[in-house]
Amino acid sequence: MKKTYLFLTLCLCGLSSIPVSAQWSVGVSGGYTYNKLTTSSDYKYDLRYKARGGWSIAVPVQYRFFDWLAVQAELSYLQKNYHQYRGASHFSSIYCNVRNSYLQIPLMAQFSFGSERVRGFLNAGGYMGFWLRSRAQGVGLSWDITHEMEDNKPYSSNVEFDSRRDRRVELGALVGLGVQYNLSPQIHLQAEARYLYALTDMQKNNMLFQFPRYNNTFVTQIGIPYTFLKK
Amino acid sequence: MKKLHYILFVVLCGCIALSACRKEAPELYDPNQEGLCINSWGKTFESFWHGMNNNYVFWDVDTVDWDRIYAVYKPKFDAIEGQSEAADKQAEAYFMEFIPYLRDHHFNLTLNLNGTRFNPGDLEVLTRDYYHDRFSYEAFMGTVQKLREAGRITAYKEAEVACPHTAKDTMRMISYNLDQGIVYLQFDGFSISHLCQEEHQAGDEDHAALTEVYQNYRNLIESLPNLKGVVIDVRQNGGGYYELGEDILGILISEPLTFAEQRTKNGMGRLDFAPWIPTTLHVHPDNHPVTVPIIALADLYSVSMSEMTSMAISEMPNGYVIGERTFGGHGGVINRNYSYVGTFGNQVYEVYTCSVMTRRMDGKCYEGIGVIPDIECHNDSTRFAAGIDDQLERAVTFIKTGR
Repeated sequence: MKKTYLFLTLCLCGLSSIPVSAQWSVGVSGGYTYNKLTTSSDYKYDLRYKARGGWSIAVPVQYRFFDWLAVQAELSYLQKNYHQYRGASHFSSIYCNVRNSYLQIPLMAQFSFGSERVRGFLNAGGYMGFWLRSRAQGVGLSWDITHEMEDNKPYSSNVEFDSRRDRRVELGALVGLGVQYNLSPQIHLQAEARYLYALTDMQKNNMLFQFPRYNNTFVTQIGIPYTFLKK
Repeated sequence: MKKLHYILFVVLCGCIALSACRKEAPELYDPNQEGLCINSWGKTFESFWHGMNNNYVFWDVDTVDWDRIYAVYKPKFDAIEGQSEAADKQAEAYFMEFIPYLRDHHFNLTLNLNGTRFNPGDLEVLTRDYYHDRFSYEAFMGTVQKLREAGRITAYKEAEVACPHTAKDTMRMISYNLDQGIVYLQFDGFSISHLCQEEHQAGDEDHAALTEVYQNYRNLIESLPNLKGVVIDVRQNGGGYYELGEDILGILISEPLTFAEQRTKNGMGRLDFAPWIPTTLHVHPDNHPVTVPIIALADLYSVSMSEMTSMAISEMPNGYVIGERTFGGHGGVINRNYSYVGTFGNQVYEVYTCSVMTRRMDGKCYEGIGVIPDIECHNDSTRFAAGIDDQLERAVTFIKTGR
């Protein structure tokens, strides 16, 4: 929890250190996330991973240098979920839905183009995320003292972070493509599809021959930025 | 427009470059299928090491530094040349340098070459200050006989049946009424329900005798007007099947009892664990709940299901464990294909190890430690041979006095 506060404080300090001037805009955005895990289950041939949906919410802050170039930072909360299951039909009842929540600061350059009313934009940059919480829900293997041991039992619980295993700070690259409709000189409506590509393994190096695990997250979101015009 | 093309080109190049920043996953062989490729001690060690690296469920609590084992012993095993008795002895000596320190007390590595076995549990118990050899069944029956001669036992039933589906040749079971009010049940394996079912199918007289012993236990609990206590004796009981819980303990309770939690692995990483799942003792449909003390008599040779039984009794409000700290094999062993962890092997070696890790309700894993009795009591071999069972007498005293 201490780490979360420290992370938040650093983020807010970073944002507040930029001098306020005209062409600043701030807004709110939210959307749907679809996360796919890049990992391997090697010879455990029917242990598989599938992408799973979640949601995101963000407060973007933007500074526009020119009509075609801006820098944007955000404070966002998003889920990077995945589904783990057994592919063989006789084990199909065993599965696990993992819901991973992240607090994230993306920093990106925005290149925009188009008319005054409707503008397209391309975002490119990187992000730093902090893994806040993990929750697992599914049906698992259980040993029941009174029945068959190979019973399956449903579960739903928070996953305890293990400091030996879990790398809670995630760094990555992002690219996004969107369109902005200017409702007025100050108020805009944005829609964006973004791809977050994690560059850090979700696990620390805790064993030889480790199987890395990376998040790949698609985000589709809409937002309403408000621009503070120069006087 | 030219500017936009330039930007797109730069972003695209960046994306391609970044994809190279990720680590590659290693490529491993399934230790269950690589037997034919193993033709040296170096490859045997490599296969065994990887099997343990990905399948062993106790890396969370085991103190053996498995990466160090690889660094130290891979070159040593690689250096063993050829196939000779001396080479085999050298390899076995290397295995003996680190296997005894593994925590899993179900663990067993068998080299198929000559049948050599490495069992950390068997080696660890030798170091306990209360270590003793197993008492013979004849000596145990001598203590029972002495109680019968003293007129302390009534409603006595015993059975010994062939047990073809288990590692044991036979299974023995005894039930009786001790000191007019203490119901006693002893059995040396957990195959009772299984065998009782067989009895119904086959009509075998041996199995009918077993059912009779169990039924005697139930009848005594249900009918004794002055029931003072129940003693479940799992000393020298090596464990077995799981269906027994409800038949033996489920009749004594009125509410389901969660007495432990278990988890298995769910990934290739050493610390990839599925969530903890409660392990629950269910109520028998024909239950007869009791409020009198329920005692688990356990000893050094109470293993696995015997320890689970002791744990369950220990969690009952009127349950106590009397005797010795048990063996410490608390995990569960199931089909490797079902769990993808635990037992593995090939033509060269077999590893018997748990698929499930257990922790007790205090949140601690006692694998390799055992169930610690509420009242510690040891049998003296000379007195036991003379027909005096001090552990049972301690249980009787506790039931009669509450101390």
